[in-house]
Amino acid sequence: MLNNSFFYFLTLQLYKEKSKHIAVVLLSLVVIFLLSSVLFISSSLRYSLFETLEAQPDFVVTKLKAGEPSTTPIDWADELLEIYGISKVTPRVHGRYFFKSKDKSFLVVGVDFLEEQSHKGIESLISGTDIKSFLSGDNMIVGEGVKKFLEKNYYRNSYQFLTPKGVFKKVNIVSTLTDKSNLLANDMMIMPQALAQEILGYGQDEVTDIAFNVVNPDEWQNINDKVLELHYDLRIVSKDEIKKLYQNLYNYKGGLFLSLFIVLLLTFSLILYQRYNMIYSTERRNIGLLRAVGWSINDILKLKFLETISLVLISFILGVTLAYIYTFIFDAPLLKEIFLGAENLENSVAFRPVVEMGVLSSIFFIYAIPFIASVLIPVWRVAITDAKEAML
Amino acid sequence: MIKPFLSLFTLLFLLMIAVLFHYINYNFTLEEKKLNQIVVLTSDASLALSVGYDKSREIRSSTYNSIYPELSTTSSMEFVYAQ
Repeated sequence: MLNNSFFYFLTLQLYKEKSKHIAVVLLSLVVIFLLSSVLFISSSLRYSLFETLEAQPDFVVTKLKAGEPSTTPIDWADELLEIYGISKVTPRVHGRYFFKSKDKSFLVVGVDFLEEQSHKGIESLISGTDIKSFLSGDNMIVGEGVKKFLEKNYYRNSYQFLTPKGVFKKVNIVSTLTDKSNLLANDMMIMPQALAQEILGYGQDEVTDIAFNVVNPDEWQNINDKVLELHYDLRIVSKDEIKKLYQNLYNYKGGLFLSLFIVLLLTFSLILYQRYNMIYSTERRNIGLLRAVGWSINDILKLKFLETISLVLISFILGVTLAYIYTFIFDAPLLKEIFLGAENLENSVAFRPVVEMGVLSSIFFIYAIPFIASVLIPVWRVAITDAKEAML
Repeated sequence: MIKPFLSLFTLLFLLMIAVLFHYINYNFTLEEKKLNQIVVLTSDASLALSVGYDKSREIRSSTYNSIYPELSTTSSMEFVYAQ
């Protein structure tokens, strides 16, 4: 039966009722496109984030005051170094600087460029810029979002910070980070640690927190307990806890997926309803005609199955490919704001293509099975009745 | 198969080829390298979410010290032992 004339008849049948099919395909296309786009954005962000988390220090220690994070004494770094098993202790200085007139804020990050690793890091980040001149004055490197925002506000080459002491501090913009790092560095201002301390109002012996690594992963819990014994007013956060927090954040965002799934299921109910209605009018007569000219029940079911699977495949392939193009080529305008926000600086993130086949196949089966069933069950009911009766 | 459907399936096939071509030719290592450079330099991998001043990067402060200010509880038996 599956010869050329059969396919010709199948496509002819589809083409004849194209107005009805186009409506169904368009409806399914919109749902699949939206759902796939959201899943693509979520997978891409999660993948990039978890990969970068691997490079982050294992633990971060912060001093608490009244239950809130406070400035951490830099001496704690020496205490941490004395614990056997701890390596690469890095005091970090970072905080937000508020641009009051426009209600926007930047993340000021102080880096100790005298450290060998930081020196190498900055060299690779701003290749083409003279490192010596960068380190000699009050200079900073900014993320793409900061650069665009400052340029809009006529700060092209430098910015005047107002320190907590009420003094203006002019800092030159030496370089802009590439847009490939926007996911982490869009709102970042990277500068020498002493300068960041001055801008954020920290003392010379104060830092925001202290990061460190533990050489043996099996010793994490042991080191965690030892560090907690150092002071009562410290908080220690491990990399695993941060991973869990991000996972929870995505679960929260997953509420959106759920609402889209509900829309998807509602669409299927609609299709189901439409199909049940149609089977009692024109399609019922068509099936009766086919039975009268000698088609078996099997042949009719094959025809209807292939007809439906063609529609399912067309809408699924179109929906997923359009979602891919929208997310990974056009960087998901509008939808990305659900994940990245739009209250502060504009962030133009280039999403890394991540296609999770498991998720895609789940969408396909959730979509295809009710669709096919909603067509084949009524068709089978009509096909088993007498041809004369079906045509009435 | 009638002509309009042949054209439609060809279009779908071309779309899929274009997507596959984009995926294969995407420079995964460059982006990964740039992000890792930022993390190594700043020792921080938190997302640059575009959220309000008071909410930004609050992922850092949303955990707490599990033992602070946990102090050993004094039970009534301790007074007995003390006596």
